[in-house]
Amino acid sequence: MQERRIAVIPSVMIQGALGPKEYGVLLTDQRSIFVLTRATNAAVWGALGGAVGAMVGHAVTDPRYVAYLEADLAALSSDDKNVSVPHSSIRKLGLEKKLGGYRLQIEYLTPEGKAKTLNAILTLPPGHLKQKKSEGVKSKDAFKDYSRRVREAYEHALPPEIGARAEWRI
Amino acid sequence: MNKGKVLLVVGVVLALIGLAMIVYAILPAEQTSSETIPNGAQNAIYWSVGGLMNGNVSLNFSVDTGTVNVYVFDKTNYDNFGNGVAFDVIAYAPNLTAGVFSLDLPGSGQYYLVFDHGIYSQNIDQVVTVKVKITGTSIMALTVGVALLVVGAILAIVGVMMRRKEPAAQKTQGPTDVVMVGQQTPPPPPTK
Repeated sequence: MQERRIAVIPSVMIQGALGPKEYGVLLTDQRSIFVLTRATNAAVWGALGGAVGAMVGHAVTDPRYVAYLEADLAALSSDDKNVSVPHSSIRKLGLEKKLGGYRLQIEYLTPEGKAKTLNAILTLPPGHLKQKKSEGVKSKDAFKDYSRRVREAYEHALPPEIGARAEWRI
Repeated sequence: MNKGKVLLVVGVVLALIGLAMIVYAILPAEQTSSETIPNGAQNAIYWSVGGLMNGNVSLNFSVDTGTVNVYVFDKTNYDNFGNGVAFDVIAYAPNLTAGVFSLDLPGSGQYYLVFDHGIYSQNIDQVVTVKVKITGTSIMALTVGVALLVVGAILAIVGVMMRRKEPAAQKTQGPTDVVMVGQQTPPPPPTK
């Protein structure tokens, strides 16, 4: 059966070993593909130390804009920079409001049978927040609405048996 | 990497190279070298310098054995000297074993410092050691440096302007909200 694209979540942030990374998430009916859109070089430059490290410590790469609706799913999935989570491998999925924002947590099994946990913080794309503010919506409410829409997206994308076990605390 | 960033990086690199060349053009140069005048009355050795604004050559030389004659020529008279016809000198000092002198170059052309055998020294090999300090501004290096600096600065400015424009154009390409594929975006919930 052909894989169907269900939704696109434009921005989440995952803390990596070399600093935070921004991903867009393409949800299909079979998997979640976290597509790297921007990474910082913080740790790389920080390792240089001193004034140089401090000066460029927050340098970020240019954002990559991905044509989610047209991009080849196999290519996105096989790209080492991206993270692909087959929905059939998900053992636990939850979205909850925490002190640092809305956190999406996915526990899943890799193809090698290893258990992994992916923690992603929902982040609002700059354009989104700007637009909401111009409409008189507070940041807090914009985040809440965004998390609600992420939940809707996952509810559409997940197989019923996985979706039924998902925990939504938003 | 986007075009603006490429232009910015190339511009900055060119500007830095240009700046380095300008500094190089202005800084004095020092060199020590040795050359041998082979035995034979017709033999000579030379060093040349040119392309300088406000050029000055300070020279400290010595010869290992015998004596040498020292000449300073412009291009025309150097050719005349080489061709064995009448020549004029800018400076001339005969039969020296060592010497120190400083000379302001009259113009930006090419000048030649020539050593040949002094009296009673035509039949021996003579090693001349020269320590030279050249001051002045290298016209070629200055021109290239300024050109690179200007081109680099222009490229960098264009790159910065492109970078300012590019994000706005790109942002419209990526989604700014959760997109449900194949569905209309639901209207926001009614406010109470």
